Amino acid sequence: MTDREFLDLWQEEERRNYAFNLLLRQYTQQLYWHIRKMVGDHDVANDLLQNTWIKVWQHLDGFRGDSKLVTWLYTIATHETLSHLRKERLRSFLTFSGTQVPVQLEASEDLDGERLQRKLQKAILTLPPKQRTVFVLRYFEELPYEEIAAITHTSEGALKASYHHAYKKIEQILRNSD
Amino acid sequence: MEKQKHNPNDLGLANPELKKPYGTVPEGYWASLETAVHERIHPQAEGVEAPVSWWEQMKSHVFLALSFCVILGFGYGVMWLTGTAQQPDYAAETWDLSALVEDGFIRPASLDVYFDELFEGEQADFNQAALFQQIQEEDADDLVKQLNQMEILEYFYE
Repeated sequence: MTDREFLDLWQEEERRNYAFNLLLRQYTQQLYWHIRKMVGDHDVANDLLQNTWIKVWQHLDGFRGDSKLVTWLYTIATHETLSHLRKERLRSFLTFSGTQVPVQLEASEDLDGERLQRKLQKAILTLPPKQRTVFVLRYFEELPYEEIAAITHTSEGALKASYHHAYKKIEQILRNSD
Repeated sequence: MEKQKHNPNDLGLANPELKKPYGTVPEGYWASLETAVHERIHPQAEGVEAPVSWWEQMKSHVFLALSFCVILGFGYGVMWLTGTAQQPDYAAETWDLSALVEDGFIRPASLDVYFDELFEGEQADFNQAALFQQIQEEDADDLVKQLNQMEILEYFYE
């Protein structure tokens, strides 16, 4: 379903639920894994994903079509996630508890291929939130810098530099862990 | 800008396996997610309320009032059975001072003062009557002394 088709369907009051369901089914897994890579925990990712969809429902009438619909969805999901990470950072700062690594990443019986994936996920969680966002969108989603710039409201040059630093840092972590 | 080339033998990140999502989701999560989102977007719609009768509206208030009555009635019943509900009649004409002393309303020392005052009052009255009588007797004696026999007869028969 194209963006135009969806928006036409959305304009019909009695078919809004149907249009929303179609949108949800089309993009929910994509958004979920994006959030999950950022936070590392299923429960947190689930909450943030639901909040994202609720905001989508509430603000879809205001979508002007300046960008692609998927970009707009990623923008909302990223802002929700960054907001959560900011609160967590403040909470850990105030309670002197430090950054908590999700339990699922601490110890698990991985299959051969998953061991490295788990290390990568742990390494990603060491990145600052904005750098983490850039890395996840570029490395996993393979979005062009132009689109990432629209999502994060950052210049392409800054994004490239940020991604380069993140890439090097994670590589070093993976090397040192072996 | 030149695209950065990654050495395929380099550690990990160039490995396409790493790009697969890590982690699992609970069974049935995707199916339940849609429902969960809709429940939050559309909270359960308020149904049309059935007309409520007067009794249904007032029932809780009536039962509350009745419970207070039961409690008060129970308390009064206990007081009646133990006799504490009946108060002595202090407005009766015969004032039983000894009963008042027993009940603790008057102290014996106060009674002494009362009777002292009462006695003094009565004594004063008695003295006054005696004095009056004495004056009358004295006047009569004086009168007799002042009048001769003829004047007394005239006094009586005038």
